[in-house]
Amino acid sequence: MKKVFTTWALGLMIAGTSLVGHTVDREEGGYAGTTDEGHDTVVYNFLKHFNYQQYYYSYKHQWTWNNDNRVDAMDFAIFAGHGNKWLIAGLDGSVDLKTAGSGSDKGYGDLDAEFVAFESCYVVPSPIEESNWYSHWTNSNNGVFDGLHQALGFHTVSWQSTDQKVTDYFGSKIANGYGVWESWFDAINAKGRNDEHGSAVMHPSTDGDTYAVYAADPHENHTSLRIWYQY
Amino acid sequence: MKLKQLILNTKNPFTLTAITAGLLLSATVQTQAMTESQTLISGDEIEKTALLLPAVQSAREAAMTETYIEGLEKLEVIGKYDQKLSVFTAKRPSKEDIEKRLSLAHKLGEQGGIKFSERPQRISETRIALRSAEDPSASFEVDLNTGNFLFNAGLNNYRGEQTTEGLPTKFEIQDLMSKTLEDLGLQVSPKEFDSTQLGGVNMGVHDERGGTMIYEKFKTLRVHRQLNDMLVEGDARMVFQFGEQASVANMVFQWPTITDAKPIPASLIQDATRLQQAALDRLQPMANKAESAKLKSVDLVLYDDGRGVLEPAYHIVMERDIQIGKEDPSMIPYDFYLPISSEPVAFFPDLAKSPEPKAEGAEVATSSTETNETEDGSNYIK
Repeated sequence: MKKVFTTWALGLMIAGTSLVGHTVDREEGGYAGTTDEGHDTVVYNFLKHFNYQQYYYSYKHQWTWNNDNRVDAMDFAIFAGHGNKWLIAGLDGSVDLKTAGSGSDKGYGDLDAEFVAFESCYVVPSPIEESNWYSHWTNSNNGVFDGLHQALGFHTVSWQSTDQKVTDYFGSKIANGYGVWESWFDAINAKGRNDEHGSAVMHPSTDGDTYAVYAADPHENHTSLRIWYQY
Repeated sequence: MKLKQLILNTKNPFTLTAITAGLLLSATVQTQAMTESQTLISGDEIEKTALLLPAVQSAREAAMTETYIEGLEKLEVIGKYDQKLSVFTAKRPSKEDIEKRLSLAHKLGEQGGIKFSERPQRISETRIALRSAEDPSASFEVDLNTGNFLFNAGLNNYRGEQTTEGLPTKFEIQDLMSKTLEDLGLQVSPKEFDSTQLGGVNMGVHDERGGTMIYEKFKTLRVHRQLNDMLVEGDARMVFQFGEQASVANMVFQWPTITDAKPIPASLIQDATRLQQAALDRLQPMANKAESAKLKSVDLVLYDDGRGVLEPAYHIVMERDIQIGKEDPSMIPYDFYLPISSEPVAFFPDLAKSPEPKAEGAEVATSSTETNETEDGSNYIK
């Protein structure tokens, strides 16, 4: 299912220096939660760095009972739209990520997905907002961490005047093989507003994953998580 | 129509849509609305008006679902300018400037114990980067159009379950910033410093007994820029992130040197009414998605587009309470920049357009093997 990591030379000359480019291209899907608030561009600005596979408006089934054909069929899935703690809003209503893995398709990672990102307000709460920031992600039989490596997002608001730039910057970084959550934080540092703070939940063994090289899939039933968060 | 009237009329749901959608009322209805602007016209009265145009009829129906925006009077500041309105242009770096920037990577890398490659790699249309063979999260990236750069010393030394030793205190961090700028030879006029903001990065680890261990990893100072007595928003910033023994672990320098300031010609400055109307046209549809909406701020700022142009615009922020799922409504902001010039030079976020995503029904279940869905070949970076 996974594409081969490709390396290619651009042979560009800048300031008399030869540049060698590396790019990673696996399977990417993007899902836009609204039709008229620019979230399509937010998603697309990530996808454009890849030969992506899916680019849809966001519907509940993509994240729940049909995720084996959508989110979990991808290596990287990104959502842009409105959110709340463990919740994302699509065109046909909201998805509760606390229980999105309860169907026969389970959560994410049991088939393919390694990474999901939510360019939305509040979706990935930190210990600042929620002392129990972890168990909803791994709920037995319900949570979405079923082999998933990392879930990226914000524990604060995320602004519409900056979100297109954040995903663009982020996409260019991970397409070039930088650390995944580290690139998310770099993108927020470089493009986000001062009250936008990123958060990234992950299985500890995957801390250090890049989109090119990453750890073995965590077990579906683990409850071990760590979170990095800006404040 | 004056703003005061606009706002008064927005208290009437039946005229609000006509305002926000820019619909043309028939002369009769408009006259009636204007002359009675201080008193609300009831729905029944409008129902009885035989001269309503079809467009007004549909607007009236739509108005039934519109959300009242609290605080619209804040739009009255639009059009009141205390300062000269100029578009600033950043110096485009020469080859030598870029080489100087890249040399900073080695200086910063030494401090952070990171060795960067000698040869830069292109990572986007305008950015090149030096990488580290040891740590894929380490990077030094330079924007070729502005000289802006980002440095990341890498996270490999910080993944352990312990708090970073030697983190600076809030009393030390400002001096560390000044010292860093000096060490790197980055000349920044203190006159351009606006406010600073302290923050940081933590790691939380869930332990099996149900608790969370919190480890402090970095301390952050963010500096905001001002020019011409206006706050610069958009890309403008300096961010310093300090780690082990107060070394620079991450730094964002988006503070390009300004070489030109051209006043916006009077003929291009949009009049207040037009700008207010444009703001309303954007606010109302977004408010309509919310349970309640409140205009929080309307600030005249310079928007730094990250491409070398800093241009006056209003930053308009509306707070919306939107219900998502069964939870109580949460505050989902809506914000945008409204350029003052009718012919903006900067690249404002709204100008970015993308192909439309595919729509599919809520009931669809199809295969996952659709590749390269967008027909436009330019979508692909290859």
